Amino acid sequence: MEIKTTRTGENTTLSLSGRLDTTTAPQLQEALIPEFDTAKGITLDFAELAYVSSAGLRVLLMGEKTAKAKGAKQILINVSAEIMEVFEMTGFSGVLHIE
Amino acid sequence: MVSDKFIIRQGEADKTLDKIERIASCYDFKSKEVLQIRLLAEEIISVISPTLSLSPGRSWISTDEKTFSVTIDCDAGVNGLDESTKKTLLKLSRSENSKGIFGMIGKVFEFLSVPDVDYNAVTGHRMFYTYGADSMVSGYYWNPEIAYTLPDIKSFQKQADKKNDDEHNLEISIIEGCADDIRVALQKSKGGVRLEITVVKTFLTEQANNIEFN
Repeated sequence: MEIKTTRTGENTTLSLSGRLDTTTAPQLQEALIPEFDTAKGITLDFAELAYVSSAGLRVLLMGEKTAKAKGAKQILINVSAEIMEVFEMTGFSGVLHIE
Repeated sequence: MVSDKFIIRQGEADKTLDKIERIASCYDFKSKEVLQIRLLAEEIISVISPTLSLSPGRSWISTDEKTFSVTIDCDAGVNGLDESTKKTLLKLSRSENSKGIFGMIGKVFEFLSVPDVDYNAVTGHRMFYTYGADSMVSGYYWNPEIAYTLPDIKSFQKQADKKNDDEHNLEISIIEGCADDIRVALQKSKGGVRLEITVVKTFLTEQANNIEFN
């Protein structure tokens, strides 16, 4: 999975491409969580992301909890219908901020 | 048709998942369903990952004109399965998708208790049961001194499930959401316990079933 990071002031955008699974979830965790030390808004762009498994969902949940703890906000954008289906199966559509 | 068995080693599941995805893509599935099949296999491997740390698992694909099945099995060793995996398997076996479970209930009970308090996979009740020398299993409601009503027992079950909310519930939700059928089986084996989980996807149209597996 490739992660492209763009920072603008207090906002950071992480653009993901490929698959977020057991192998690549640690990579996202390493890229995402430290951003909350400085950023107030984290946007995860899923436009090029094809697949999310439970391992990836746990990292997204970790990001959401970290955002709340730090008074920041995590938003997901450009989520595909297939990934949205996984979010709905697991109840994550009601937990994550998706635009 | 049945494929060769692929070995699954902890930390190397990607190789097996790639093979499963490649085989699934040869069939009449939309790309979304091919990824769902890969996702199903990945979630099962996640469920059994504690046992994969002890010994490799195996995976194979079987198909007929109407269905595509992925089976993953592993040996849990003489110490059996850890509590988290047991609870996950019971939840999966109680899934509404699990049409093939009833033939496997006996094998699950045979393994789980001697004696113990655990879930009745058929009724969802807490059962206290013993495994006799004659291989018969008898069960009765938990805490026989108090006569709980059926709704009480189901309520206790729901409370117990909530406490275990973090244990593999994501994997279970995804497996239940993507699979058309789920089968769980446990058997005593020479090495301890053998676990087998099968997930099934139904083809949209009947297949000629003549694809060669690589």
